[in-house]
Amino acid sequence: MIMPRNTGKRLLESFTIIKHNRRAFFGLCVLVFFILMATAGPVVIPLDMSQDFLMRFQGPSWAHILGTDFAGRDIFQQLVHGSTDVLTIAFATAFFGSFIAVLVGLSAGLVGGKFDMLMMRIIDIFLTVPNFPIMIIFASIFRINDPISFALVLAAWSWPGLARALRAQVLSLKHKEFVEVSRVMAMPYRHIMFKEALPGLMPYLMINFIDMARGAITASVGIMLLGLVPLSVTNWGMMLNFATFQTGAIYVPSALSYLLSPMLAIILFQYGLICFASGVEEIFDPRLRS
Amino acid sequence: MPERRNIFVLLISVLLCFAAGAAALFLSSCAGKKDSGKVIFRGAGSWEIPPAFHGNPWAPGGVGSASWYVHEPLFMFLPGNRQFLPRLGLSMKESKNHKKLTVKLREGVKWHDGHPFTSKDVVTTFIIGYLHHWAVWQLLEGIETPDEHTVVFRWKKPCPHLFKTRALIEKIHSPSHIYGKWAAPIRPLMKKEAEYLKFRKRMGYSAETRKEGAAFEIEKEKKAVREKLYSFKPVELTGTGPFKLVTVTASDMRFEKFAEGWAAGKIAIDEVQMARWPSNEIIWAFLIAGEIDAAHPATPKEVAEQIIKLNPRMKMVTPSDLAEFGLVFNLGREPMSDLEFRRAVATAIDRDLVRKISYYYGTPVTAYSLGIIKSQRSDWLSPETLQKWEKYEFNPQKAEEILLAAGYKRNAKGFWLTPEGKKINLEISTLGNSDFVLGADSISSQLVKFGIDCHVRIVMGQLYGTKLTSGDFDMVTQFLGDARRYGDPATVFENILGKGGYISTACRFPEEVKGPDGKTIKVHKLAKELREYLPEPRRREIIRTLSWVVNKYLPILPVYEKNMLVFITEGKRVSGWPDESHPMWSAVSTGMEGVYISFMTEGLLKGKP
Repeated sequence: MIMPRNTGKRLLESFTIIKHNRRAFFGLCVLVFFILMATAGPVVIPLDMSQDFLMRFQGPSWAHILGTDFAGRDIFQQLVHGSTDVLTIAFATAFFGSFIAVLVGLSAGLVGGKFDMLMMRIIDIFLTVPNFPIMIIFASIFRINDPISFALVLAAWSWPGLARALRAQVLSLKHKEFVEVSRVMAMPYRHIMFKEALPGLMPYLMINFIDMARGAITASVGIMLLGLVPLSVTNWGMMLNFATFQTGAIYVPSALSYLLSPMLAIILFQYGLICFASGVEEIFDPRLRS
Repeated sequence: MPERRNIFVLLISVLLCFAAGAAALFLSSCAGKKDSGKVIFRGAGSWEIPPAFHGNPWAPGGVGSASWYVHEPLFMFLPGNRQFLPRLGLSMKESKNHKKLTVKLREGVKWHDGHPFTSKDVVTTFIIGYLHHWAVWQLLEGIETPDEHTVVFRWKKPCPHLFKTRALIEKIHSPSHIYGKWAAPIRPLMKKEAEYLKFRKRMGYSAETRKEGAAFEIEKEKKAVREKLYSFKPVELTGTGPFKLVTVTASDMRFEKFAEGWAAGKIAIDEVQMARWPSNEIIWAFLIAGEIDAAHPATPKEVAEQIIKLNPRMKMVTPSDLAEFGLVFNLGREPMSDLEFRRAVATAIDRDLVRKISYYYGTPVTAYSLGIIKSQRSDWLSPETLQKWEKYEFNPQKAEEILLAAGYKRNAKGFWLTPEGKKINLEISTLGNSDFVLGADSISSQLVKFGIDCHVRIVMGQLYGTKLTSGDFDMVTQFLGDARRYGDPATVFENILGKGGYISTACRFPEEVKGPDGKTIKVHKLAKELREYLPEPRRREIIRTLSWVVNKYLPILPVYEKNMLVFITEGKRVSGWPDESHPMWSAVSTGMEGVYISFMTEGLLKGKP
């Protein structure tokens, strides 16, 4: 297990590992591209949401490199401005979901006994209660207007599966020597959880983190259609929904770029995450390095 | 599970399109092999998937789109020429005081199970309709059957056109030999309730309190009858209509011509096949494949053009749906409660652009906000009258001037602030239908461009009614001037300005407002009066006054009059579709299938030449 002396050295070492893994390096480049798009993009490329009926469903041109949507608005501008919310929601959902799962799964596995039983029942409730009616109740009570609250709502339903899996992993790690030694040395649970058990679970956690981020993009469309959050026509998932269902762009040859642009953006972002994850696995598990 | 539903959004749609295409091809090949020589009409509709499907039109779930092929009304009302087309009824006569309507029924009509159709069946249907709060019973005192082929409707007061139409266009779907046993216990309940209401009227509130137990008992007994009726779920669907239901599956319905039907000799169609209509995209796929003879999905311009381009035999007709789409403002909330702000919003929105983007085939409504739908405007309001009223044409400059004059100002970023200096942030609530969502998005984008921060929130159908009545919104998209089925402005104003009207409740419209001459106009009272039998000049006067109120106080802003977009295929399987000027098309708001059936029973639709 890698235990670098300081953060700078650790980052450099991690980068070297990723650089040597072509797939992971490609993933990193894609993620950097999207992060730049989400942060610097809106500053560099202004968003003009003025509608122009005569310009609707135009193909790519110099004026509109990805064409225009159903209201004659530039698709590329929408992709760039939509990326901020999409990435924030994706990463924040994955972060919150993973954080809750780690906290619940690891503590349940390590503490055991009645606490474990209680945590498992809570997990069971979240896994079995259908989230659709709960979302309807949420929609009628709460008004969510910012991406972080949005991510919290999505995360509320995405952690239980991971928490259960992490608990199972911890139960198998619990009797390993290094954990036993920590217990004998009367180390606090916090230390055992985060310093001993967690690093061993990182590859698994990273894969689930990426899965949650991916799921958040598609789930956000459902949440918008339920009315829990305001409609955002620049959200990539919603762009795809509009292209497929609302505007019938799927049947209009000249609207192909409206259909393909958000689709490719989502695919590329998700593929980038998956590629990057393979590098992350290598960082935490030296046996995987070539 | 919204997550699952949207994960493979494209994949699902592509698969569904393939499935629809495959089903269409399958139907096509079956028809070709088995039914050579038969004239088949293909439509689309919705119904409960078996085994949930049943033949009781009263029980939850109903019989879906099968109803129009199997059941018939006494008359079909054509708003285009204000005529009644005889169906189960042959003729009608009103008494001079308009308190009695006598309908002569067609003789020799049979139910699909062989029983003769009589006046008892009409009474049975209306009696059970009483249990289901049919609006006609607000004025109907009772129905008499002097003989087997005569029905007499007796009204409590002189009956206006609206209630006459309500009585005549209800489908007669409850044969007395089947549903009579449920109608029987309702009769004494009707009498009991009438006595109770008379007593309450005579004695006032205190007596009502003492009689509360009686009202409760009546409701309890009604509920018991309803529950028994709903538990009856026959496999067979019985009607007098021109087609008999043969099979129902999850994907299609099949009907065969009822050989003993009264119009059988005129009907050239031997079989009706109906594809299931889960969503518009599926129907677009069917239309593109040319496998449907008639359907009316809300369709964007480019998709409609693509369908027509790929199907040279197909054409579009766009009769009015007798309803206007637009915005309802919440007068109970700041800043929408300020008339000046509403005027500015109305002027800042390019309504024609909204129409083009959300529902291209609608008729533009760009100047006034009258309540009365545009196609009926000239029937009630003269150009001279309208010329004196304020127009809300698109003019951002004027909108800005209105706001500045009312004390509103812009912040450094150009967004409008209230006179108190608070940033305005509005929300448009909308149903998830594509035309509603696109319309709301277009309005929101235009308001943001004008400097009013605005966003759209989709509201699920289950929550929409509650949202409106609770007043938990700034603006909602809605059908406003809704004269569907009856073509009567009374229903429009009852809805927009009447006491307890759907829109008037939502927008919190006051009971009284100041008129042009400074005198008080009692809007609830006028809207109620309009539902009664009135001399024509008085009726016109009320309509003019209420239109003025709507235009002046702007509780609503219409964007377009909805026209149904009907795709019809000529000469592939059937031919003879009349052109758009045919008055029968004007009945689309009563039910599209009813129009198709009328074309068949009138002998207009035939096999391919």
